[in-house]
Amino acid sequence: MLRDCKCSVSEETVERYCLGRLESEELERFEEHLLVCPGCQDRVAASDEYIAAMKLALRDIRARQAKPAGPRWNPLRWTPLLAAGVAAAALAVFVHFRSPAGDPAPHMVSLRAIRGFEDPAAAAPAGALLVLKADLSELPEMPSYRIAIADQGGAILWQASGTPEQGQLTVTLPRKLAPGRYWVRLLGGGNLLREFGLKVE
Amino acid sequence: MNEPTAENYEPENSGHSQRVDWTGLVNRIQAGDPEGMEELYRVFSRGVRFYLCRQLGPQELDDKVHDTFVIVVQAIQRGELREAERLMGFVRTVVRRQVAAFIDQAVQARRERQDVESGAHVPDRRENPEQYAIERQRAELMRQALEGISRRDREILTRFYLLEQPQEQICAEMRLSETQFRLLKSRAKARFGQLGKKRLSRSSLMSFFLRTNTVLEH
Ligand SMILES: [Zn+2]
Repeated sequence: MLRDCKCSVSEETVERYCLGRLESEELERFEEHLLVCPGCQDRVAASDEYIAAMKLALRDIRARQAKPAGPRWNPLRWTPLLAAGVAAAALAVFVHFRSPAGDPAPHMVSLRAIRGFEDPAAAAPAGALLVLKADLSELPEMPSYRIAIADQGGAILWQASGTPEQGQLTVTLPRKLAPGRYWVRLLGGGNLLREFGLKVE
Repeated sequence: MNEPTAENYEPENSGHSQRVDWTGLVNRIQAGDPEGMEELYRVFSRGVRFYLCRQLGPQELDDKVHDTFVIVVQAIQRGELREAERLMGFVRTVVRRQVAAFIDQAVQARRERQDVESGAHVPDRRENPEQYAIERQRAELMRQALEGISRRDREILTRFYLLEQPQEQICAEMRLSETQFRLLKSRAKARFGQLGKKRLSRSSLMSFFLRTNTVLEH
């Protein structure tokens, strides 16, 4: 049961905080308040739980939808019209999920430091072009950061620099990753600032 | 929105509403008055603990909270806090620095461990199977709630929560008003809440955090 919170902070502000979307001044104000408001601490904890469940569930639903459905009917019973319809639908899906260059639509991976050093649930599909979005909150501000992908043994596979925007660093991997576990390292000023786990499956 | 400030803050964990006299509090800490330190701890301990637990997890939480208070008290006694009204901001800065330092230490330690063990497997940080089971159970409930809504509504939620698209972009691309967007989100929350009320217990993180909200010991 959430305690009765008498303060004036809106639900939307709490949710935006949990999603890492508060801008600097608003973030500062809210975090100062959070340090002394048990009601908002409860609300943030509840919102964190809700968002985590939402992300996991949406990821599950997407993964299920992405799996090809097994044959549930006898193909011999398909009429040519139905077959043509299915082909048209398949083509529509193909067009929808492919960029003009012919590559699959990139998959966004959010790397967030939350309740630990990294989000253990960061997962991405094999064979997809990956766009990595790293949360820079709590880190020293720098004009640019470096992201490196290491394999499970720590060998660097790829690295690049990027300029932060609104507290986040976004980079697109130029190559696809084979299934396995990787480490995404965030470096700034020559120091390793953060490390996130990434599971490609 | 009427945002909270130091002036309108009334600590809820004190058991009764009272305004904090920040200047008096800072003066007492500077003078080394133990009651001042107790009050500082009473006002901030739950919040500092919450912040550190949320960012770093529950490991060695008592030590981290204690270290944070030692740093705050010493800095105040050295005269580093010039305006007493800025005490909340000052504590926040110290806590954020502590979080950054702990993350840095852990990353360095892991890197050294990896070097020594030459490619040995780094254990998953999901150390608490009970916590993981609760998260999966909650996600399963959420999945049930989401499967009961339209594909379009699900797409909107996916864009917002999973793909982290800005609200403005979603509303423009999905032809939604801001009110429709908010209503959709609150309906999803209510739906999940109804299912969850019947079947879920409180999270172990929160109960851990409440259980261990102890007093400062010197
Ligand atoms: Zn509050």
